[in-house]
Amino acid sequence: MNRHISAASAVALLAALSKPLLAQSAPAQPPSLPPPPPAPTVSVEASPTAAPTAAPSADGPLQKEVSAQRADIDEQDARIDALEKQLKALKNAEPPKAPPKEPAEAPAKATAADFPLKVSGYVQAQYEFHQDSEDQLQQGGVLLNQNRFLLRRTRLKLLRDWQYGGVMIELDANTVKGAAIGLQHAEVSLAYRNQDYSPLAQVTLGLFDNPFGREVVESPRDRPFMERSLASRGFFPAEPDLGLRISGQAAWFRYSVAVVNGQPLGDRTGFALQDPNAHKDVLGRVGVDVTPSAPLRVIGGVSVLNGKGFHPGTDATKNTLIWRDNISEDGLVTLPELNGVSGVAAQPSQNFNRWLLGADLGFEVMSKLGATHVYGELSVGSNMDRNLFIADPVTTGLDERELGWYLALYQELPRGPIAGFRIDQYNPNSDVADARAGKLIPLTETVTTYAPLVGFQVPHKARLVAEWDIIHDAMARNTLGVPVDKKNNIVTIRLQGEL
Amino acid sequence: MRDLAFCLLPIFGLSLVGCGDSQAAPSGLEEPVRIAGGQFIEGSFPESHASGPEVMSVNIRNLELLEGASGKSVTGLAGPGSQSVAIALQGLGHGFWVVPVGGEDLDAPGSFDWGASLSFSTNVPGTTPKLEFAASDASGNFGPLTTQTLFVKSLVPTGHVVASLTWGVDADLDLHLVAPGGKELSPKHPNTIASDADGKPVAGSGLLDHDSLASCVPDGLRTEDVVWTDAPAAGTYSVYVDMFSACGKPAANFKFSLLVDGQSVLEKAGRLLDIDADGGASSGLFVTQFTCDEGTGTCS
Repeated sequence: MNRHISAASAVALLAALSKPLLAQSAPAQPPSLPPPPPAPTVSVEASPTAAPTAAPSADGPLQKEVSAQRADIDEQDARIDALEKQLKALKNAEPPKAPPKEPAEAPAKATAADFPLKVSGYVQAQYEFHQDSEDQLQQGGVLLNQNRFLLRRTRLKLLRDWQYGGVMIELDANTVKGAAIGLQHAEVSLAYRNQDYSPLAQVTLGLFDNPFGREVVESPRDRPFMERSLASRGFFPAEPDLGLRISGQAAWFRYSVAVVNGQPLGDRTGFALQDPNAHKDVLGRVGVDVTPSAPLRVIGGVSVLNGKGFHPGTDATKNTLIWRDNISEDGLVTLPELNGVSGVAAQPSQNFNRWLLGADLGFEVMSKLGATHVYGELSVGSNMDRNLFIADPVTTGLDERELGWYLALYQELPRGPIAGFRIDQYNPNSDVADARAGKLIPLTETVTTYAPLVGFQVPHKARLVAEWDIIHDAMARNTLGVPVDKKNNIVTIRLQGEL
Repeated sequence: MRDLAFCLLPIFGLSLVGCGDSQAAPSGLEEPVRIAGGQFIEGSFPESHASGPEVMSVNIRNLELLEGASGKSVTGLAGPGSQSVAIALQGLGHGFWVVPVGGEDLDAPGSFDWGASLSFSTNVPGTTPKLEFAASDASGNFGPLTTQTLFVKSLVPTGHVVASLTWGVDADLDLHLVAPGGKELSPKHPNTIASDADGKPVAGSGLLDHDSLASCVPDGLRTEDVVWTDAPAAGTYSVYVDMFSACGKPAANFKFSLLVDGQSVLEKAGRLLDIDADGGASSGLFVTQFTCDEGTGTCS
């Protein structure tokens, strides 16, 4: 193409680029070329290099015309140079991509279109293989077979924000203990927002995730590992609890403080989402979310919880008569085997103190290998287990000291594969002893889980992951009667699909 | 391909971690004997070593037990150096149980107390199974074998003629028999001929052994038997099965058997649905009839 057409294109491009800058309209439109200007009067055949061959002899008027044309060409060249420089300058001065929402106009001009109703959801369907499965029923009817297909989570979330608040409702259906559907989140908030619409300060009332550490507030939709670490599941049987939360963010600073009932969803002490005592648990996290240099993101924080647990009392009982076949052991009732059990008066319930401290730190790095996530968390607590090794210091007379930590790494490769590994360890009681040949010997109840995973994902659409939980504990005994690791590893293959 | 290799690397690398010295801890519900709080270990009973400690005593209060007995207490003493005691029914089951020894016995210094609470399956073969015991030292050497014979009594009552009803779920089913004289046997009237003036059973009368799952209280039996210790009164008996309460179950399958001198001479199966539950208002579903001869005292 010749330089004149290039000049026309440059002008058109310049005009197109200038428009959004001047009007500041978002989103930026792709530059579109206007119709070309009228064709220049000088054709390519009249180029300086062609002129000598085109002019067989020096002639006055002709030379004059050639000179005029040359002058015209020189002028056009100069204009083109100037335009190119101007274009280059404009390109260099091009501002960064506009944020999705206009900060300058937000508070005053936000409309319903800026806060649309968002409907999202996902399904996690999986197959589990448990090494300790049996085709039997446990006393009480609990299934001992765990090798099964399972709908682990089916979540549907409705979210509607407005300038000074928002509402979120999330439902969950699963088949963990048979088909069940229930409320997972129900939050109503008042908020004062930053210019990017993130909440500077937000007051939330309802059913929300306990603001403690990293895992509890992390959506299972985003977490590649099947479940939270064992300690986290011990302290928080499920993520949400009922209460009041104040949270927000300013630049890199994050904070969240909550007052909750202290009996979260899934609590196995018998009062899930209720509150048997008037004391409320106070918990919160302060942290940072910074990007010190372009590919690196650092997220960290410290968390604390202080509250009161509940030891239920007993009802009054009547006098009863029982038969114990412990004398003749013949299945026949004899008089000495009949025993009266006197009625007992009701016994009062008692509260006990519990607390939990935590720290979390994580890094995310973007590279040619994709996104690398490395993170970990440490929690130290007392009488906090409400799910696995349930703490009850009222009965034992001793505060149970708990320690849990994990380190996780996963890599999201550019073309979809994902691989990761997590090691987590949980000691539910640091003061356990085992009796051997009449002597009390310190015992560790520590459970260590190594969890490698591999999978493939299509971001925001689907993820297929296989995880192998290699569990080391002391829940079996060998022929000497000494506690040893129990064969209870788990393999899970999960397919997650998102709306 | 490189991505795949990268992803599978951790799996192969950690496979060694998952193949350590772990111990399976099954419930042992399929075993002929179970021990509460004990560890079941699959495999043959440990071999005896000369250096291993011995089980010095085994104490069982009553060596007789019913099929399916639970909570049978066994205690004893294990010799010096003992760490655990292995227990099994000789030649039966897929392995043995291990219980750690307790403290040192005050009356026999150097020896250790041990104890276990045993439960038995209802289908232990034979009537004289042997319990076997062996103690282990800290090196895992088991000492000499000690055995103890038990005497198991059948749950099915012994009698000349037995009419037996069994069913498969925890629903309250009742066996009803209409005797030749017209008297109906049921849980509330447990014999086929009215007792004499002293309240004693008369000759030829059958007696119901128990009311299983009465008021829906599970008893683990799900069986009711009418037993004639001598020749039944001659005539035709009609058999009914009544669903007193479904106890929340949708249906109950049952089997009726007539045994003469321990041999089954008649079997009938059937099913009752939850809508058949009537609280004992009727005799229930007619199942079959059998006739007992006056001369031979047998039924068919």
